[in-house]
Amino acid sequence: MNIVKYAILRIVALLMQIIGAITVIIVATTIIPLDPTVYFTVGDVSEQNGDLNQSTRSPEEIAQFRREIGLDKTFFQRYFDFLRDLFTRGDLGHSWYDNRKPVTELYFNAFKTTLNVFGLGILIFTILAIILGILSARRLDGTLDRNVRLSTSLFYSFPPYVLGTLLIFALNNYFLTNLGSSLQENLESKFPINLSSRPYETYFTAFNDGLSHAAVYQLLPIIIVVLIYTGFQFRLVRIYMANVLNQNYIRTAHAKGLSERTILIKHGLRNALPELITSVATTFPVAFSGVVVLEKVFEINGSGLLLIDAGLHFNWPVLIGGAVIFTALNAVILAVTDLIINYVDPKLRLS
Amino acid sequence: MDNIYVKNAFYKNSIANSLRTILSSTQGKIGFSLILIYLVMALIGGLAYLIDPPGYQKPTSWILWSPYYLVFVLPDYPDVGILDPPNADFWFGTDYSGRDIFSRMIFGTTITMGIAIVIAFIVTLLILSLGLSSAIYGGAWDSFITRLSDVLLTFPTVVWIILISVFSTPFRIGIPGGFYLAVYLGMSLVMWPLGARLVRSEVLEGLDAEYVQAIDLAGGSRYWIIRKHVFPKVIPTIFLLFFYQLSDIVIGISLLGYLGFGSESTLVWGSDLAKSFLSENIQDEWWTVVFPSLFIFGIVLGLTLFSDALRDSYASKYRGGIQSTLHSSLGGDS
Repeated sequence: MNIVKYAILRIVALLMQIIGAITVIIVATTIIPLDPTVYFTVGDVSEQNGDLNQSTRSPEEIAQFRREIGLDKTFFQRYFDFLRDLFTRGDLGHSWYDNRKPVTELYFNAFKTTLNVFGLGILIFTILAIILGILSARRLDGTLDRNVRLSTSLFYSFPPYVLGTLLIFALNNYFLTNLGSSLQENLESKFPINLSSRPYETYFTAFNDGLSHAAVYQLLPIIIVVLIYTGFQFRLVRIYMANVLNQNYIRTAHAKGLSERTILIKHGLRNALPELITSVATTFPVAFSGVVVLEKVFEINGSGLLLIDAGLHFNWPVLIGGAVIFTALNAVILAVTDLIINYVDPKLRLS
Repeated sequence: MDNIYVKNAFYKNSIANSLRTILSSTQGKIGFSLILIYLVMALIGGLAYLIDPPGYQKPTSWILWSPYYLVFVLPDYPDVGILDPPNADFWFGTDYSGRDIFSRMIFGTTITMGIAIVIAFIVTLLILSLGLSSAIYGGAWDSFITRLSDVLLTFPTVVWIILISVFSTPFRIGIPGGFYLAVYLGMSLVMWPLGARLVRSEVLEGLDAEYVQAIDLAGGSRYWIIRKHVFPKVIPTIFLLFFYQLSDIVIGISLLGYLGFGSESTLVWGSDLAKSFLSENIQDEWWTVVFPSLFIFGIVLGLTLFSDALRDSYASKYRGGIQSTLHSSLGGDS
């Protein structure tokens, strides 16, 4: 198939996927038997199991709030307005709280924070997993392979939030008992915060007060991301590479007397390239899911915390906007991967 | 008569065989015994619940003696302190409101394993019915199912989890037991597309095989072909999917608790972890963080090791594409 024709088809499919996702979310926010203004009228409901009718606002206030956020419109009006705004102006609406800021602006700033904190970690684990996977695929069940598999399967079994909690706990204990006092005095002399009053919050305050240049605080999220997701991607890379190295042409290359290096790089890597790209694309959304949760653990004001807080406050525009952004990101990555693979692998273009 | 005997022997043999293969590897042994331990704990928690549903404020020993107390009267225990470190009476210590952490973890095991197994069964049913029907009937139904799973697969997992938790809130607050219903519905909706797609492609592959076409020419009915020659090939995939998805579901529902969406009495592991994490002087209360983490870690590790060993046993049995297909499709949870 012609690559241009394939690209057009793939982009149409991508748009259909995104519109489908938007439809699913907006229908869900409409049919849910809950008044979304409950955070405005009652407050935080996540902690209480009590009744939702103890309003602290007057009926006029509530009516005006509903009018301002456009809840008096019908479902179809809201749905088509949303699609029109999104595709003509790239506008996802305004948050109901946070001074009615535009959703796109909120997420733009949040994504910058997310990338600042986790970007390096994602880069490191991708490279590390590919290198380890290729090296272990050379000798399946060899020493390297067995050791890497064992250690990664241990960390792989920790959900990110559990490992994050445990590591913050361990690291904070270590620093506060061993070099705690000196580090603490040092930080307190530079910045107007009192660390000793709530020692456990040092991590969170450090980030949110702009202390993020302290290397210790930057390292932990990176370490966690690398520990967990190296194992995930390593498994994919290892098996793809092993499949390629099992082929007959690799054996022929060995028989011809080519060097190990040439075989691995010229014949192995080149043939495994489409699948390596797939493994990166498969891992990315999974790692991104983990990052969202880790932001909740570390209380980093990134895109994940924004989405979770919007969920806890029933802040529909931010929730819908976030879900659309994450979903679109995921879909775009998959589409781009398909296109790259189609470009790289001539066999696929023929069929 | 003869036929039935042979058939039963075959099935028994194949299950026993794969179990033997699993237990021959260290990974499989560890995984299998961890799963057994958790199932036993879930059973104990269920029995204890029959005696005293909110019974956390007692020493640890009562929950282990719960089968005994089903018959005999439960003795009165003295009051307990808040945030006691682990000791002979409270093996894992007590939490911020004086509840025995060991008992809470055991109740958490019952609830989590119960929910997870129910969801895994619902998902397996959905996968089988939707995957098989879309492969067999084709046409409009097939393209509808494919498009739907496309859309559902586009959502990253965590976005789904957050959406589920948001949309389960009114059921949690308003209707007793409604929270479980919402979680069942939401999680099964997330989980089916991946497996259904896998089953669909395997059935299509099976229907395409030359010997199946030969049976078709020889006059075998479509029902016969699917029952005898296509369905048996799908069974390993179904088993594998069940165990892989079980660990995803356990992680998912603990995450719901961690994010603060379940109430304290429902999603115990995650919500206890999050609650103790928020405490002010947590350095001195390590037991409130470490034990919930270990409980989540243990079951996920057990399920991962067991399903890896299961996959390897199938891969050694069916040489060919199965290992790579399953690897690539079961590796991702997105």
